[in-house]
Amino acid sequence: MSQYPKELSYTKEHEWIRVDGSNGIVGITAFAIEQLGDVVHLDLPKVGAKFKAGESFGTIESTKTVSDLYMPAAGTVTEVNTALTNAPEDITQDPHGKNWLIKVALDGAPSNLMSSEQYLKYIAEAASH
Amino acid sequence: MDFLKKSTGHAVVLEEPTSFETSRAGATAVGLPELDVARVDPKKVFKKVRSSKARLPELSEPEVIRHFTRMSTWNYAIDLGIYPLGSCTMKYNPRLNEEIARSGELSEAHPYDPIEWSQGHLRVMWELTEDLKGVTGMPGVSLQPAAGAHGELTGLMLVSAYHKAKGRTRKTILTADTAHGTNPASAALAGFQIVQIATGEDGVIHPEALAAVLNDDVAALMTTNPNTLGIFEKNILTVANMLHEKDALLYIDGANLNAVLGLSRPGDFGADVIQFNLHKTFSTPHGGGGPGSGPIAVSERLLPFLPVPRLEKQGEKIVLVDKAPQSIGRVKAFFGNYGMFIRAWCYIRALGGEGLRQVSENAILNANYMRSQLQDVLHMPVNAPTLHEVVFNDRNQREINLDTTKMAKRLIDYGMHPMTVHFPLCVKNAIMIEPTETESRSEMDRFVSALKEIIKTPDVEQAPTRVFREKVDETKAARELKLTYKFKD
Amino acid sequence: MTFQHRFLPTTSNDRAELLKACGVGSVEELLKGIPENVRFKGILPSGPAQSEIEIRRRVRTLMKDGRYAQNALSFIGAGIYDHMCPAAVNQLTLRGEFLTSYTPYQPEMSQGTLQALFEFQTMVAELFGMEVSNASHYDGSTSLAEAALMAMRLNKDRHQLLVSASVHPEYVQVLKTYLANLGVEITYIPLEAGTTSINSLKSLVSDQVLGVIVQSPNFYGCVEDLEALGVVAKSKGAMFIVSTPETLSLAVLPSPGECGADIATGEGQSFGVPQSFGGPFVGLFTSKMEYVRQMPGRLCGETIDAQGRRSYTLTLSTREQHIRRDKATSNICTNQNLMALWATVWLTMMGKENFHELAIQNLSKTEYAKEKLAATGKAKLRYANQSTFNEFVVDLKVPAQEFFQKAAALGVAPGVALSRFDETDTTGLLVCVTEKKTRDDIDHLAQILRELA
Repeated sequence: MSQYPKELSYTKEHEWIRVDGSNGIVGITAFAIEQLGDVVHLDLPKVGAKFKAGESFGTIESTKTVSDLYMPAAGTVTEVNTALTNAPEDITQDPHGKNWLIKVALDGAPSNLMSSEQYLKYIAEAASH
Repeated sequence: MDFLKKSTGHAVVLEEPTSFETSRAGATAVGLPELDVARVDPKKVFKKVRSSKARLPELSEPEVIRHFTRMSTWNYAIDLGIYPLGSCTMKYNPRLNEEIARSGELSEAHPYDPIEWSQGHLRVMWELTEDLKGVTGMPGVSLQPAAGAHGELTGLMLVSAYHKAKGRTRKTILTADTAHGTNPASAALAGFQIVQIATGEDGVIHPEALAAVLNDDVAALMTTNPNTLGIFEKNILTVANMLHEKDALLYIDGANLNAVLGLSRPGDFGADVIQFNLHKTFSTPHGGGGPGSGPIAVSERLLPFLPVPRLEKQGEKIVLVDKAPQSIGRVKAFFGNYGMFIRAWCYIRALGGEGLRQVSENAILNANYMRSQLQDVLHMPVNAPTLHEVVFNDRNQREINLDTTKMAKRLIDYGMHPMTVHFPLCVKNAIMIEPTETESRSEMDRFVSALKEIIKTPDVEQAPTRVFREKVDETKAARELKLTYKFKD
Repeated sequence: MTFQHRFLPTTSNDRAELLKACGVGSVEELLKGIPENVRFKGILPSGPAQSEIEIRRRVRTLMKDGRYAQNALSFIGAGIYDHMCPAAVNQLTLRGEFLTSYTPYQPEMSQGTLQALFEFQTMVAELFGMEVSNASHYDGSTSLAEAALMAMRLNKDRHQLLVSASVHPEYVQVLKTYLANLGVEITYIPLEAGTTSINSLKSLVSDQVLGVIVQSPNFYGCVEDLEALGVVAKSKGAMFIVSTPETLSLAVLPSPGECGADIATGEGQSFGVPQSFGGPFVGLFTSKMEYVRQMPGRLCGETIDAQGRRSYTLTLSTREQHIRRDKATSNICTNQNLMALWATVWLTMMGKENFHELAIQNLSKTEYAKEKLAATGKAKLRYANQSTFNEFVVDLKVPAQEFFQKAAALGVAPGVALSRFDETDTTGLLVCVTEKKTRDDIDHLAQILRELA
């Protein structure tokens, strides 16, 4: 199950965060993308925007639905993946790597997140319902 | 696939480009009378004029007729066959109503005409108001809202005004998980927040579930009755009493009123406000998505807040009154979709009080017939008495790899409009069928046979294919937004 | 057993068979889901069933004093305009495939409605000079209210809305109702000689203003300087919203898009839609592509089918109530599709040249009427220095409502007495002259004015 990298932490809303010191990279998981179907649009914040943990920082839109994107940890946006916002359909390829959403300067160490193992268990349960 | 061959013929269907592509400079489809006064040059009157003429198409009259007639043949319609969209009430639209609504007497009147000229129209509005009071057993009606969702918004504004008049702000609207999407959207627009109540296994709201969320912040509960599972909310009277004890109100979404005309009146089960969808229950045509008309009826509690202007009788004369200090105001310019009122008024006159009950009885009978014919092949997630519509899902078809969406798309190849699918949201992969009272047994049998044949032949991959356009690429439409024709010049 | 009604295909034999298939003996058994204590056992008070003959007779009797029955002459406009309509428009919109179809949620069975909507959106966007049009709204007043809501979404942190005092009073009332619970404060921009005061706008606009709403031609018929107003509105980041109830004026006046509108709305009734005592009409709603995801209402888009052929479908429906529920851009579901089709057929028939020519006729006849009425000495043009399209205000020497009543008794509606909207405005009469009025009609109005005022 290398699909969900061990070095990432995960939320129940299917975002992931890669923490590197006081900086983080945020994206959404392959599972979420599969659930969404064909992604047609991404609405991401401007650089400099501040968010609390759990706060919505944008939306991801497929032909079927629009979902809010939630911050895995509090912080300030330092970079937005504009290559992805210009071609949102690419998100299906490498969603845990080059197709990240935003980079953030973290306010502190993230808490209440799941490991890849816990996340795998969590989505297995979600699928069985 | 015998039935498929039998059920659809080969229609003459012609391609037709957009009018912008067939346009030829110099052609026209109208003749204007000679100008009988001095011609005025806009450049001499206005400081600035439009930089270039709007690029409207240029076609002759016969070409315009063909353009739109060809396009019309690409549509399905009630006039062609069964249209069993659950909760949409696609019933036959009587033609007298069109003739009358489009006659000069009705269509040329202006709402600011002298009141003496308008007495006939006001009389129609007055009588329709009385009809709607009769159907609901509720004391007040406003005809103003333009569609069902607009009626919902208006009703919720009344709820807000009611609480404000009592010197408080309540922020919560409770909705059942069987609610239409317009309910939460209307509530948000009226400044409320939504709390959802789960219905019980029997598909209805239970007093215990309500008690768990009912507090002093609840402004109203919004629910459809009969609900979108086609089930009457059997606890509705208890629910209404519980709400009223907290001085919260009961909003009934009238989308499914076609089930209960003359059988049960919302006023009798405690409703404070209900919106009508004249384009559902009272047979004004859907027109490919409107115009609708969404009058509301209210209980005593909400009378002071109804929109203005209001109809009033001064002796024999009917007038419109603008002054009402507690009114929420206007929700639409003029008096509402009057052209729809006259159609509904004609429909009600044609049926009479007893005929309206017959409508509901036959609608219920037809839905139960559909249930009886399909329940051996489709799974019914909630087994309760069916009224005007019946909800199944695709559970029995999962092992043969046939899902709700596929069944719906394949029905199109049989020359039938599919039922409502994936709604209500509380049923996964829902299949929601509302035949209405204007379908004959043979037309219902045609639908049932088609669905059964689809279930027997689950391996057909591509559908629809026997149509003017096959499966339409909705993803491409959303990704490469093309919302207008791109002119060459 | 009950009577057999013409709308109901189920005969008594059918009924017996259906009941048998359902495994019950009577319909009453199917009603057991309705608790006894909320069953209604009476008969609804709508009277007996009537035949077509009876209904027609009743309508004729009811309408005997109406405008049509007495072949009256009317100069009433004020948001609803009496324009010509070719016979083909009514005929085409009667086709059952258009009239009796549902919202085109199944694109494979609704290409006719969808292509018509695509053409509608194209023409409306072209007329307004804007990039995107939706597939229609209820009417001009609710379109404008939704424009204000959209501006609120685009300027989330601002809470003030500036509205010109020349916007149709009923549109303003609708706006007030819509915004009552949403924490937005409305401030009116006063007028100066019949048009929105640009100096007042300059002093009112600030970085707290979410949007500025103006109407042109305005309620008093005067043409606003949209371009100048837009520059001021946008200087502080407010959304510039333009409302156009008389959309025929777009044939000759600079389009809202040319004048810098961010959102432009209007009423499509002018495109030959019957006046019908106030509705149904067709609300027009246009904006810029960059704001498309904040637009309310349905949108039709071009795409392809499985065979690669050009096709149409409703798109961006993720903005709408059935998917986004309480986070939707609007609660609108049913719109005014058939009236949008009506407008589309009408505009197609008019075409580029006659649409323009029709506007010239309105303008020419209105200029003639202004001159004729003023020449009677009984009426004075209130805003003589302003340019107008097909509507203007005159002040009478007698109370306008009194003159209106007297003229009405002679079968002439001479305009709208402005006291209807403002009790203190006793002398103003708002007169509208469309292409349907002949020179004789206008002369007749002047004659009546001479005699009665």
